[in-house]
Amino acid sequence: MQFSSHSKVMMGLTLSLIICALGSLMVGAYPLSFAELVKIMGNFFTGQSTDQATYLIFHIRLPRIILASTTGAGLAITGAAIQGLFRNPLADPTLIGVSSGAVLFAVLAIVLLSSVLAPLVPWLQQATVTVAAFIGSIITTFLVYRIAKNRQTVSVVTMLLAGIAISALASAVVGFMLFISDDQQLRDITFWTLGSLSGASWLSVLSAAPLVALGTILLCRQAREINALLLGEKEAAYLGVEVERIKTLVIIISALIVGVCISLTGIIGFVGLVIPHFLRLIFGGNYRSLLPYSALAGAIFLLATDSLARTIVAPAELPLGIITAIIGAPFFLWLIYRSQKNSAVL
Amino acid sequence: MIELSNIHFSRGDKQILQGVSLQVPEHQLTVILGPNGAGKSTLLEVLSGQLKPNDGEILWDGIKNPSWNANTLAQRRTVMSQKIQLNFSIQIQQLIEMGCYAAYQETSGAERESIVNYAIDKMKLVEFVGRDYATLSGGEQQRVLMAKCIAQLECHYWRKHHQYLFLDEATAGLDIKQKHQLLRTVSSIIRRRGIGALAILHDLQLAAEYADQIILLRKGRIVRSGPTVEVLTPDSLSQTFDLPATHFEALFPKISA
Repeated sequence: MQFSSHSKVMMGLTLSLIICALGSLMVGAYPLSFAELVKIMGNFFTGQSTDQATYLIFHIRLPRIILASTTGAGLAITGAAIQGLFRNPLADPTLIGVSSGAVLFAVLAIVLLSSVLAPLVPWLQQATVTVAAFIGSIITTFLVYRIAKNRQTVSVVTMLLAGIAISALASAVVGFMLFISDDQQLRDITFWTLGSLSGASWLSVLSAAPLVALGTILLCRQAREINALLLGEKEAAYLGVEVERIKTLVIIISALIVGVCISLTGIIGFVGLVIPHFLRLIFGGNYRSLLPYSALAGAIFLLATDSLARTIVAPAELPLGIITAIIGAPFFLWLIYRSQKNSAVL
Repeated sequence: MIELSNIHFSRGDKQILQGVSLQVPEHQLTVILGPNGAGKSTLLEVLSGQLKPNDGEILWDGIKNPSWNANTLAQRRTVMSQKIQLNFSIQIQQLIEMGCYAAYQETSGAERESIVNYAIDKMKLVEFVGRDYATLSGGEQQRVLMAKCIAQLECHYWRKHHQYLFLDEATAGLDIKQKHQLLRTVSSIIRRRGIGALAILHDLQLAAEYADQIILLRKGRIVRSGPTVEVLTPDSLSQTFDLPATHFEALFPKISA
């Protein structure tokens, strides 16, 4: 049987993701050997085990692994899509205001609703913050989009500027909230803004995975349109692309994906920026392969970094955003250095 | 044939086109000449369906004021722009294949590949296959864009309606040899496929050499239009460009004689 190089890469990435997931199931504060893992899985499916290790695998690690893959895939594919849409290699969903709105509303919920939330059980407190963050990300994106929309057309430059202005406004309010918050709230906020998957549960998996999966499929179906948009909006329209419809579609899908991901995990930087660039360097800039590769590679990257986050200082864990930035930022610098040296485009 | 009659277009208070009437016939190269700010690019955008005129009538192959979507428009006309700056790496054959975007549903992968290969061959780009667009020189990039336009025209050639090619200062930034090569290619496409072409040019000598019909535009109005030899006179050029007629007598000794 003959496989195209595209299917080979897809299979390779999928296989790597499965291996990473299996590895991630084994590591952590309570390490398991592969034999133990196989045994626990076997026991679970024959329905004879209810011990602690089974609980750990199926109620703590597995939902966390799925949420890590989902978030990684969502952040990376939207990063790639937004870079194409804005024709800007440095763009990521932050630009359209998604993250700043999520942070703002999460922080507002943590600080202002503390007295209301206090009597609630912890998971309900967390759920309130999550819902607030999601609402915040959608509201700011909508606001940025409305400002940039002039009659029938959406100006990406105006959108970029509006995104920066609204982010600045949001971070000023966040700064003020930090100022008036108490110690516990400050810890909650810090944890949230640095990103973490420790809140993963089957509920969070169920709220994120279907949306991200659907969004990923929809974005992959716009690959040819995004390819054409790389030439500029006017040129894409000459080629027959319904430019305004595609812009709106990609922005809405991206806002939904990123909104739901970061409302569950907090801000996780560099995935959306670095993964697409890394893949462009290896496989070229065709969005028909870049989008699915980004989703898979983003999932692998976040799964691997999250496994690190919860093993380096076990039984405690590091905020995930710190690790993605420690790995992502130097790597990004290297990419920039390399492109300078070869005077090539990123 | 595309016919514009009495087209008006304004941006805010600024009147850009003030009653422009012209024809773009098949089998011919029509060239628009005029000073900067005359409304040439706006006129081309109205023609190519990007801008809706405030007033006036467009008759496109007999269809009055067509309101086609982007895809239908792309099947009927191809636009070659000035230089395109890319921020991402794209291989040239991928860029050329984008010309087939509007024909994607009706063509197979193999058909598109043969059309792309034809365009690559036509523009003598074989040695650049696999190269990144951004690493090419300006003249080479322009050839790639022309190949993309050829691919777009070829994809829709089998349809019953006519094809039009619009060139928006496509020769800007090219050296004199490259300009001639580009316009020779356009002429050969017109001859072979019977398309109607319209080009905005700045170079009067190129216009004199390649145009079948010339339109002189000044401040949103047509100064003169007609067959090249009749229109390119020192008098009408002087009127269009606000320069003494003697300047053009020196430029076109043959024409003025």
